[in-house]
Amino acid sequence: MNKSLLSASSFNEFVGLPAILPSFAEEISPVDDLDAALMLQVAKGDHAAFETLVKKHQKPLLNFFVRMGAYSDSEDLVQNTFIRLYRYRERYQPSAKFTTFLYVLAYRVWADLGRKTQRRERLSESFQTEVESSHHLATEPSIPTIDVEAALDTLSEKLRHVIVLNFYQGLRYQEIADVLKIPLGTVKSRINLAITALREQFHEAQNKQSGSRQ
Amino acid sequence: MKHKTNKADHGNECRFREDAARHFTGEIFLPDFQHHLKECSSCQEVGEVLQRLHSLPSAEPSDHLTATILASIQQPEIAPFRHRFHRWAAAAIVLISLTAMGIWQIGKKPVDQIAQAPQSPTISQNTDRSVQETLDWFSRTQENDGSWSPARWGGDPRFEVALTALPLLAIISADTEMTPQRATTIDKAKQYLQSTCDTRGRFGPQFYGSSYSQGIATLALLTCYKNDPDAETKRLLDHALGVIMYHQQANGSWGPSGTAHADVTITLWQLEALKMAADLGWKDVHPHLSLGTKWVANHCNKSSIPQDGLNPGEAIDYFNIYFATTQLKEAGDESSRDRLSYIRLSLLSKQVQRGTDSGSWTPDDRWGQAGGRLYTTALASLSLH
Repeated sequence: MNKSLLSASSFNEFVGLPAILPSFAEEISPVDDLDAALMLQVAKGDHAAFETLVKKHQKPLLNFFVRMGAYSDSEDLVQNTFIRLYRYRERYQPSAKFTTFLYVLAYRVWADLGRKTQRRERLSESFQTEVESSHHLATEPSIPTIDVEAALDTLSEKLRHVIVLNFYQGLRYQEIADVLKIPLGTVKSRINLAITALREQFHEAQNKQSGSRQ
Repeated sequence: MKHKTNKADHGNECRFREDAARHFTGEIFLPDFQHHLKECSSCQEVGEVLQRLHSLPSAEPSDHLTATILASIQQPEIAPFRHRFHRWAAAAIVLISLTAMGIWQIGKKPVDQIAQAPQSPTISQNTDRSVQETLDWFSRTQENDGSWSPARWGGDPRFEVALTALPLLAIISADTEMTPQRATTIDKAKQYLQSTCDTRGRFGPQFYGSSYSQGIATLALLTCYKNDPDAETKRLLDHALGVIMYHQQANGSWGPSGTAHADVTITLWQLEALKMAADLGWKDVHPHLSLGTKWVANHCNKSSIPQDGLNPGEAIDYFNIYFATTQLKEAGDESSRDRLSYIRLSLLSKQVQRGTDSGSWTPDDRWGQAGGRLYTTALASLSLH
C-alpha cells in the first residue's frame, strides 16, 4: 500500500496518533516556527536538522515524562517519541505549532505506556522501591522538592497532564486542548481543580511539618 | 484608582478565578490583576502554588541520549527490523517447543550427514582442543579494562557490553581446567560488566539494542554468580533482573528498547537469563518466565524447521546453532546426540587454525556485521561446550 495515499486521519491511526491534527484551526507558517522549518528539512533527508531538533527538545521531553511520573524508562520514552517523529517526517505538515505536534506524539507514547500499568503494578515491590529511591537520589531533592513531587503524585492522571503541559512544558491552554483533544473549557476547569488540589496538599504538608517541629 | 475588594473577589467566587493562573504564566495579561492580587487571598494562593511547582528541579538527559536517539533512527523501520529476525528466530523457537513436547524430529539425517561432514574420529578431543584455542584467543584479545572491543573485531561499538558478556559466558561455561590466566580473564570481564551497570540495573548505553545487552550481560553475571556467589553481584543482579521484568511486554515478549514491539531474539535472551535466575533461587522471576515461555510457544511455527545453515546449500547461522545445541543437549536422546555431533564437526571445520585469528571463527553469517568476530567466536564456542 502506498502510504502517501492515506488520509491524515487514517495515517494518524496507522502510526498510533490521535486523529486531532486535521482539526487544528490555526495555520502556522514554517517561517514563523523554526522547528517546523527544520522538520520540513528532515523530510528532505537532512539529518543535521533532525539532530538539531533532538538536541533542542530532548530535555523538555525528558522532563515531561519525569514529571508525569516516569522513572527508570524516561529516556526510553524520549527516544520512542523521536522515533515516532522521524517516522512521521514525510507526512508532516506545519498545520500547528511544532511543539504542540511533538507533545501529541509524547502524549501518545505516554498513553501507550499507561496500558502497561497493570503489568507494572505486578512488579516486585523491591524493584519499585529501588527505582523510586534511585530516582530520588539522582535528583538530590530538597524538602520542598519532595513536597512538590508528592503533591503531583496525588493528582489524577488527567489533572497531572494539564499541570505538566501548562506549567512545566509551557503549552498554552488552546495547545493543551489540541494535544489532549478536549475542549478549552475543560482545560481551564482541570487546571483550576489541579491547583485547588495542590494547594490542599501543600497546606497539609506544611501542617505536618509544623506539627513535627513542635 | 483604588481597587474595590468585595465578596466576588474572594474564595471560589473570585472574578479572576479561571484566569489567574494564565496571568501568572504570562499567557494572558489582566490589566487590573495586580491591584486585585493584593487583597485576594485566593489568587495569592494560586501564585504560591505555581511558585512551588517551579521549585521542582529539571532532570538532565544523560550524555549519550542524543547519540542513542540518532542511532535508533538510522535503523530501518522497527517492523522490518523485527521481520528480519523472524524466520531464523522462529526456527529457534521451534526447537524449544518441539523439544519440550518430546517430538524432536531434527535428527533424521545426521548419520548420513556426518559421513559428509568434515572428518574427525575423535570429536571429543578435537572439541577440547578447539575450546582451549578459543579461550586463548579471548585471553589475547581482551582489553586492559576487561572488555572486548567490537570496533577491533568488526562489530558495532554500541554492542560492547553484549560483546563482552558473550565471551565471558563462553569462557566461564567452558568445561576446562580453571587456570590462573582464565580466572583473571573472567574476573576482569566480570568487573567490567559490573562497572557498566547503573544504579537502576541497566547495562551500558541505552539505545534500540540495549535489550540485548541487558539479557546477555545478566545471563553472563548469573553464570559467574552460580560459580562464585557474592553479595555485591547478587545485589546487582536483583536490579538487572528487575529491569528485565520491568520491560516485559504485557503479552510476555520483549523488544528493542524504547519500543512496544516484540522481538523473538531479544525475548529468548531475556528468558535464558530468567530461567537461570529461577534455577538459582530468584522466586519473583517465575511469573515473568511463565508468561514469556507462553508467548514463545504461541509464536512457534510448528511446521518450520531450524535453519542453522549446516545442511548443504544453507548459509550458516551461529545464533541459530547456539539455540539449537542448547536444546539438543537438554533433549539428550540418540537422535539429538547424532545431530549435536554433526554440528560440532561442522563448527570445528570452520575454526581458524592459523595466524593471529587462530582459535576464532570468521564473522560470515548474517549477524557478523553487528557482532563481528567476537560474536561468532563466542557463540561457536558456546555451541561446542
